[in-house]
Amino acid sequence: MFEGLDIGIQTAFTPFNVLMVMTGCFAGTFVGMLPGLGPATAVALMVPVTYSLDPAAALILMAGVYYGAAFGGSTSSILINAPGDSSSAVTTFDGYPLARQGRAGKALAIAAWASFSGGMLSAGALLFAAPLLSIVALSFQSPDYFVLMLMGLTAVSALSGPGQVLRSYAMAILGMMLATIGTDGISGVPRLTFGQLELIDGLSFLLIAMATYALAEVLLVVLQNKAPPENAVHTTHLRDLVLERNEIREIAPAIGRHSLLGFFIGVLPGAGATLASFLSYAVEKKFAGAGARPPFGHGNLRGVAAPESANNAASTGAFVPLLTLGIPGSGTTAIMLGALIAHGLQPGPRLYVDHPEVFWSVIVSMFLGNLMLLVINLPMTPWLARLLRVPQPVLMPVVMMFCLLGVYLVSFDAMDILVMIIIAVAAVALRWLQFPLAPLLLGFVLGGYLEDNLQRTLILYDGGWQFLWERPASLVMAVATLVFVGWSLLRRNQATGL
Amino acid sequence: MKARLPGIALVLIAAVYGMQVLKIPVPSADALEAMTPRTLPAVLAVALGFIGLVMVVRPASSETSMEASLSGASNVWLRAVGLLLLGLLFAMLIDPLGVLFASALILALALYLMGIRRPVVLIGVSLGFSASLWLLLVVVLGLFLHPGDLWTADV
Amino acid sequence: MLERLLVTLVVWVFCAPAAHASASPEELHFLIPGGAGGGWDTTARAAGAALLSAGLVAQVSYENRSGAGGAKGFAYMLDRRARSEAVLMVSSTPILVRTLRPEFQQNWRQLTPVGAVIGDFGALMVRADAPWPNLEELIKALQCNPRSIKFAGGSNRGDLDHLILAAAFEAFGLSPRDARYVPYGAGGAATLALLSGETPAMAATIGDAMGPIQDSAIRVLAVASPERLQQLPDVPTFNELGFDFEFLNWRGFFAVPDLEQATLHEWTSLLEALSRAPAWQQEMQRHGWIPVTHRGPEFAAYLDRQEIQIRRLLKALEAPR
Repeated sequence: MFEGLDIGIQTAFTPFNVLMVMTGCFAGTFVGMLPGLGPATAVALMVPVTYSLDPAAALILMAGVYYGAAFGGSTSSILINAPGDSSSAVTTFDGYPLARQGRAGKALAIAAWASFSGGMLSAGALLFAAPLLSIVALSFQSPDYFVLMLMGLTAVSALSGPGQVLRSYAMAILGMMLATIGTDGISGVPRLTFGQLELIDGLSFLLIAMATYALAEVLLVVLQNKAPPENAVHTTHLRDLVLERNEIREIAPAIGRHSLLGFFIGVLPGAGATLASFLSYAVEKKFAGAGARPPFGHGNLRGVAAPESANNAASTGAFVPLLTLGIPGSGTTAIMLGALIAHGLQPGPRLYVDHPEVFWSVIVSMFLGNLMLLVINLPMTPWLARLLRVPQPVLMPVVMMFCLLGVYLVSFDAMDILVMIIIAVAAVALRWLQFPLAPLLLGFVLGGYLEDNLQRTLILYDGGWQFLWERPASLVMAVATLVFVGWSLLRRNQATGL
Repeated sequence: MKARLPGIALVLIAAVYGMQVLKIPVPSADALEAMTPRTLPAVLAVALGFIGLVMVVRPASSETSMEASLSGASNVWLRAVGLLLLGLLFAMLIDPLGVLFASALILALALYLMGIRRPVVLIGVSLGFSASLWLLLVVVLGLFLHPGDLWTADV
Repeated sequence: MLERLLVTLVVWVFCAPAAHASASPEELHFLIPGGAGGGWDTTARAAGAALLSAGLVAQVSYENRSGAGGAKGFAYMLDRRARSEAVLMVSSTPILVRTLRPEFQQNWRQLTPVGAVIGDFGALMVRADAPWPNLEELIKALQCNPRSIKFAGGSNRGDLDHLILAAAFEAFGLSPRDARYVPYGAGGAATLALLSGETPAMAATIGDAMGPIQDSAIRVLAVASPERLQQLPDVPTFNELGFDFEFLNWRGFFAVPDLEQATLHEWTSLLEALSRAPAWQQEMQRHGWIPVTHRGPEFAAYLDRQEIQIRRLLKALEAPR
């Protein structure tokens, strides 16, 4: 490994490759901030450029764009409640309330530090254990993914406020219902599409997140017709960017936990950064308990730190199956795989034997890249936070346009704008009826995975459920799920006497 | 009645969804599997209906309504509905006009609706926003945005 | 940068009508019915780059219209009819499968087939440690119990990889209905399932698993190509083992409906020139693509034949057992 590290450092720190890291991180940050343009598009736009580079530089550049986008995605989540990419949707839960309280600068700084730490810690894990971790990626099969998603569903109760468990589950089911729209992933049958070509692919998560959070928020702000609180217009000072000791003490353990969790989820080719951010948020909320001040969803710093460290760690973790197995875990890593193959490289178990300079230099470049991202992002935060000083009647139409265009840029289909408006109106109605919307997003994310994996599992096991006790990973997670559900039911009964 | 409204809404959603689920085709090859494309949707419809019924029968007592926080003024509703209509108009105009002009036009109208009257702000913000985004996408990122049917059709 | 900005501005806002007016190889617009970075996208962009560097066209642009497995791009292509003849839509075999499904009211005959340039062949693969050393042993096991072996694949039921399996079963004299096909979301996911032992075998196109094949983690039992593949000289074809079938996933181009004969000729000779261009040879080498030559009317005739094959397989999959 030290030999590899040596090669990696030598390759990654050539002036040209340092320039590539920088370019990638810059491009990624900005693309990540724009709703609609996610890491996949950003990396795809880079592919033609990489043909003229050597393979190591190409991968370093694309990787920089990829984790740079995960880094920058939180910005618009925090400022205008519109996630820049889907893995940053969870950051709106506490980031946006913080911004409304006039602490946008603090929220952005926390997001930057958490992303940085998540990226650094998981790059370290990649460095030490990448070849070993490929075993983890290989040992997870469809039944295990199904049980993992089932376990994820129990996070619904964590996402709900006091006395809202039933409503939360109702919303999670509604989210899963939205996920069933479109072609069934197994049989290929179109479902609930009403004969519309536009619905055959189903609804995108980004569309749902932007509609229920950003666009619905615009409508609510207009309807409530209230000016932002006085202190929201306060300028962010540079000192906000330096975290105080008690803040560090508060978020550091959360960052540690969720870098690990996020990295692990990222390593699994069938999961992804969006799921990682949801799970870490739910876990952190459970960890903090009911006594968290301020409560989660009302601007808790750990509510920003947990998902931001997790999603960055997950995007780094996704390099494990890509580099060691040659298997892409997501659309973005699939594009990178294609580009590597175009360079005559075949990622897989032989990559770090045949092309050690590529394998190690991209990992080493991640340390450099995360450092650069911090340097790029932190000084920008006061400027970005100033956006909120724009008067409400000007800001709201701009945010609306941002959402509409963002959704259009995903599909280039005007129909999606229409669907988005309908969902936003429904979201306002649901909020008026006191339904929480976070479980809806979680249900939507989990629904598709859950169904595909269960259908597949039942084909594999010829309709039997013996995988629940025959597969150790499934068994452990199934028991954990049962224990968790039982425990929270028991506690609730004791608490409410119902 | 107000307390039972959420539950009723859920039951209605479940019923409408459930009816649509019955229309999902099941290919004959799939009918033999333990789980068909209809299975999960059916389970979801039943589960949501059940939760809705529970909420109808036992409505939560401590309702803190959001109604109070909504401003009653009619011009507020007008504005919200106006914004939505502008969104729909945007969906209709984006193909004929292209991204650049459609977004500038709709943004200017939305700003006017929100009470902005100064021409400098109206034109500056709408054109500035649209043009800078367009330049970023097309020139810097090299993305293809269709210029708009109106400018290309009648040749 | 400033220059590029000005040129783009002028072309897009003011000259767009003129620029899209005629079909001259001066300018070529690729319509890509899938997302950036996907297979269609890579093919179109590689072809465009090669055409440019060979000096065969002066200007190339690309447009991604993804959605509904290519049906949205297809609809857009039909819609564009009057506007421009200088548009080529990239497509592949799944377009035939799609257009045979009831939810798509489209048929490839509505467009003008120009030609296929590259392709990927179907194959049956097993993990390196599988108990079947060759195709013969696998067939023996299947003849004992056709439902005993599960095959992973990277497409929905009734789509490409399932059809490869169905074609193989048909050739073995077994009922395609008995094939146990396990669908995964993408070729990569199916390959992973095979590697992790979720299924013992896989039916897919070679390109999906090229990496593990070269690492000898996956063994190819037979490939559905007319001749042995250059990259895998030791792998027999189904034909030479006595099973008469081929399965090609071509990638090629379609032009707008009712293209004039002269213009079609212009496009086919452009593809001809492309296939000879060193820049394109280099691109193919780079991506490990297998060249395919189907052009103009001959391509249309090939599509007719492939459509008959796919229709028959789909019918066999749906027929009662």
